[in-house]
Amino acid sequence: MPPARRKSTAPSARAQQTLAFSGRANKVTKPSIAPPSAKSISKASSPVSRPSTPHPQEDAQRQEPEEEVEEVEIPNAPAAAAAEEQGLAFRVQGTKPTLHDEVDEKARKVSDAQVKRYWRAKEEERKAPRGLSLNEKILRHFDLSSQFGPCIGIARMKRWKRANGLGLKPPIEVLTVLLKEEGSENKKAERAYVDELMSTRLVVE
Amino acid sequence: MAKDHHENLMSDFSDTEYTSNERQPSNYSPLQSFILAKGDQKHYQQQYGDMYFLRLAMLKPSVEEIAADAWEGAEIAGETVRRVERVLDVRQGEFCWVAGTVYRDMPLKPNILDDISKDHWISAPPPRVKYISQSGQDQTMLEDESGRLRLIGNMLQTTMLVTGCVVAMMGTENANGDFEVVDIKVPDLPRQPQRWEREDSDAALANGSGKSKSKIEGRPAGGKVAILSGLEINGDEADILAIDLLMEFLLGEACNQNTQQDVGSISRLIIAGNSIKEATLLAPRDEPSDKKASKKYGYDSAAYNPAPTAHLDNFLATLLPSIPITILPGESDPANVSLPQQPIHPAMFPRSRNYASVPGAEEAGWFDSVTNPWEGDIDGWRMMGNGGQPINDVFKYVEGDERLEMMESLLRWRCGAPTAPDTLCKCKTANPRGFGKKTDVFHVAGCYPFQDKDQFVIEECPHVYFVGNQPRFETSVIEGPAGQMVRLIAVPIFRETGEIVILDTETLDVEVIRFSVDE
Repeated sequence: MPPARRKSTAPSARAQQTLAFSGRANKVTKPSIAPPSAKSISKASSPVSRPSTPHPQEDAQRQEPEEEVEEVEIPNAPAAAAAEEQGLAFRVQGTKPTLHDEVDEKARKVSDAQVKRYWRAKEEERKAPRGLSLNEKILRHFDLSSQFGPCIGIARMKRWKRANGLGLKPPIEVLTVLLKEEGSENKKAERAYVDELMSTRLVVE
Repeated sequence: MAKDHHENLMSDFSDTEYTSNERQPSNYSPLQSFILAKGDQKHYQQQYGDMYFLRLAMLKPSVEEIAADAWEGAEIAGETVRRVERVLDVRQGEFCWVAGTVYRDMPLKPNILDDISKDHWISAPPPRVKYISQSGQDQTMLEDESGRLRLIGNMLQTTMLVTGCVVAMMGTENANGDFEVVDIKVPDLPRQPQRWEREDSDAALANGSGKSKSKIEGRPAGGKVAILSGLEINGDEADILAIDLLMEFLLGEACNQNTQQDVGSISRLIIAGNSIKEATLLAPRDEPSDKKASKKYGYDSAAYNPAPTAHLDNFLATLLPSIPITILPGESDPANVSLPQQPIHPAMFPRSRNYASVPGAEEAGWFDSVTNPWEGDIDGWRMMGNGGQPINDVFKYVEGDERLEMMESLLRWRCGAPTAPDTLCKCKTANPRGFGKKTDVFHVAGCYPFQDKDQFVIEECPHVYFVGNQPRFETSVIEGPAGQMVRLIAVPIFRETGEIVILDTETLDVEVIRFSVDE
C-alpha cells in the first residue's frame, strides 16, 4: 500500500461528496410529541429533490455541515406522521386543508349515474366493437367446458354431436344456438374462437 | 420274381380310384373396423388430444362401474372411501377413488428433439430396448381433462401400467401432493359375443323375425386355421428352403397320406405381418446424392428392389389356388407406418390379386388383404389380431418379457394399442453419420388421430387373440369376470424359428409345426 499522505491544504472545492452520518439530520430517536408544523408537513409531502448532502470529513469543515443540515432539516416526527396520513387520511387538527382532502371530497360527491355516463361515453369512442352477443357467450362457454373434449381442431356442431353420442349430456341450448347460427350463415361461429387463434399463422416480414 | 416285386411299377392301367383330398371350406366374415377413409376424406387437422378424450369417455363408465362395485362403502382406517369426479378434486388426507388415463413420464422415451439433436451432434442417441430408466427417474401419473396427478405407492411396481390405459385408482393425497395408490381397477374384458352370433343376427334381420333358418341348419364343423408371421422375405436370398417346405406342406404335397389328410382340414391361412423385410438400407436422408440417380422407367433402379414383393407374390400365388389367405401388414411391410395400417395395396400382388375380390365388393375375396390390427369372424369365432407392434411397444414400458401377460393386460384394459399416440411406431432408416452403425431408429407419427371414435377400444371380447412377430411361441386361455374365455396366441417369427401355429376351431386348441433344414 502506498504511504498515507496527510492532507495539508484545506480543500476549497469539494472533490467528493460524502454521506452525512452524524448531526441532527440523521438522529435516530423517537419522534417528539409536538404536532408537526405546517411548513414541515409540506416539505415532507413534496418529494425531496435535493440530494442528501454529503458529510464532509470530520477533521475539516465543521461549519459547513451545520449550514447544510439546517437547510434540509427534515425532522423525523413529521416524516412519520405524513406517512400515517397517507395511509389513513385523517385530518390533522389545526392544519390548512391539503390538496388531497379537497379531491377526496369531490370524488365522494360524484354520483353513480355520472360514472355510468362516463363509461358509456368511453365505450362509444371505441372503434372496435366490444362485447359479445348472448349467443357467442353461450358458445364460448361451451368451448371451454373441457368435459366435452378439446375444442381445437373440431367444428362446434361436430363436437356437440360427438359429446351427445358419448352420453356426456351436453346442454341442448347450445345446440339451439348452433342451429340458429348455422341458419344465419354465420361462418365465424362454426369453429371455436380459440381454434382460430391457435391456427392463425403470423407471417414475419 | 421280377413281376411280383415291381407290381406297382410298369403295370397296366388300373381302375383304383385314388381319393383326392379336399380342403375344408372356411366360413369367413371379416369386420371393417380399422379401415380408414381414403384420399381427401382422411383428415389430419385434429390433434391427438381428441383421441385420449375419446378413449377416456368410452372407457370411464365401465371402469367406474367396476370400481364402484369394489370400493363403494369400503372403509380404510375408519374413513369411508368416496368417489371423486375429476383427478384434481382429490383432497389431502381423504381416501377417494378416481378414474383417469395413465401417463408414464420416462426420460428415455424417444423424443422428437432427438431428431433435432442429430442435426447438431454426431449421431442420434442409440435405440433403446426398454424405456425404463434404471435410476428410477420414471414417473407414473393419472390424467384426465382437468389435470395430472403424480402417483406413488407399491401397487405401481406390481401392476402393469403403460401410457394410455384407462384405470380407476383408490388412495389418498399425501403432503407432497402425490397420490398414494392403495388399489387399482381396470375395465376388464368386455362382453363376448356367442359363437356365430353375428351370422345369426344378420340372418335373422334378413329373413325377418321369427324365421332363423340358418340356425336350424347344422353348421359345418369348422376346420383349422394356420397362423404364420415373420416370413421376412428379402431381396438377397432367392430361395429359402424353409418357405418352400411350408408351401409344400400347406399344399398337401409333403409327407405321407395321413399328414396330407390332416392338412386338408386347414381351411385358412392367416399371415400376421412382416412378410417382407428390406435387407438393403434405404438411401441416407441427409446426404445429398452426389450423382443424380438415373430414373429409368420411373424409378431409381439402384435403390428400388422389386425382388421381395415378387417373391411374396409368387409364394401367395402358389398357395392361393388351394387355400384362402388373409394377409395383415406388419412393421416392415410396404404399407403405411402409422396404426391402423391399411391393407397392402393390390398393386403389390400382380398375380395374387386375381384371387381377391373386386374393390368395393361386399364379400371378402379368397385372397383378403386386411388392416393391421384386424378383427373378424372365422368359423363363427370372433378373432382379433395384429402384427405385433402394440405388444412390442408395451414391452418397452414394462420390466420383463412376459408377452402373454402383456397381451392379457391389453385385453383387460380394453385397448388394442394403448401406447398408440405416444410412442408407437418407429421406422428404420440408415444413419448417415453413425460411425459403424447400420441402422438407426427414428420416431414417426404413431397412429391416425381419430376424432369420432377411438377404434382401438375393444368393445367386443374376441374368442381368439393372436399377435404376430413375437420372439417365441406362447399360448394360454384367460377368463373374464362374466365367463368370457379368450385364447391368446403369440405367433413366433417364421424366419427365425420356422414355426407356424395351427388353431383348431372346434376345440380352440393350438399346435405348432416347425419347418427346419438341417445344415
